[in-house]
Amino acid sequence: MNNNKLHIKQPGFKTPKNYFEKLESQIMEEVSLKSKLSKENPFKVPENYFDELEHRVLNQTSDNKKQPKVVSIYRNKMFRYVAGIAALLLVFFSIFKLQQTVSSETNTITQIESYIENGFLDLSYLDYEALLTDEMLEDTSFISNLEQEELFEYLSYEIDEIHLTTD
Amino acid sequence: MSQEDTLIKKLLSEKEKDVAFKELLHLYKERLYWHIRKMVLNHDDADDVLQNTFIKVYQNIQNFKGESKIYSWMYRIATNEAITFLKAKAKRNNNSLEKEKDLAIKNLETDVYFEGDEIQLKLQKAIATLPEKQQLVFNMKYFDETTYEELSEILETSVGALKSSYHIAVKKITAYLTEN
Repeated sequence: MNNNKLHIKQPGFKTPKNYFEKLESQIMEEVSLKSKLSKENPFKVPENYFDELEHRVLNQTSDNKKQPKVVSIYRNKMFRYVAGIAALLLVFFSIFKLQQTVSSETNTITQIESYIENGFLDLSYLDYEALLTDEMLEDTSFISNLEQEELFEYLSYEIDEIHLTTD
Repeated sequence: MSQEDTLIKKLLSEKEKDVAFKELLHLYKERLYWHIRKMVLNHDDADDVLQNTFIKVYQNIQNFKGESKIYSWMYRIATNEAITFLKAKAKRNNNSLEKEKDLAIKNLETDVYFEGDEIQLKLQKAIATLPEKQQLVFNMKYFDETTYEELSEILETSVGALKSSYHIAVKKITAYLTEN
């Protein structure tokens, strides 16, 4: 009997080239390795490790989510320091911002004054009059502050120029 | 519906997620631990990586698409976590990955949680000489007897490439043990 063929009929299956030669050496290498080594696991774990592990993992996932530990931030020492620093920074920036605002307002007034002084704003006394309200016109308190002599002196100089109406 | 499908359905439901996760943890904690332990060697490191793995599983379960088995997905997370951990540890200690691995093997000699004899210690040294992927294939095939189909799903590599990788690993380890 031909041992190479046995009784097996080839139903069209093929093997990769040199498969049986490679297979033999691969099996021999593995058998040799296994004969040298036991497959016993040399690594150990502490006692009850796997039971404790479950608790530790669950504490970090579901349990914590359900019962979150509430710690008041006001009792936290670090919070007090941070709050103190934040308050100081707030005060500092508020003052800085205020100074900036005042400074910009002063700049605007100075610019307007300079604009008027340089004669770019051509307004007659009638234009000024139009800006005054009735209340402002009725307020004559500023006159009482003037000395009568000063008033007469002013009127004697300006009477020709200012148009006075008498109803 | 299979048992795994039921578990996945529960994991994806807000109401039953925690109960299902507890079941998942109970089922896979040991398998994943030993997978990680063979990569990082030290118990404390394995513990850190395992906890991070399960926390990631919990946080990312909604991203599990069901295209592979749940344990394959968890194995992939565990493998990535272990590799990231080893790289970060090497960087922290200003060492190359190879140097860090050598140190980890040297530490096994005095590790109370390693009870291997001289030949088992030598086997660990031989495994450490392999490239990362061959180490994974060898550990999972030789010790855990994972099938090539499962390995293919976990490592996202073809069965043919895995077989070739495993045989190269066996050859290298045999040669190392013979020489040493």
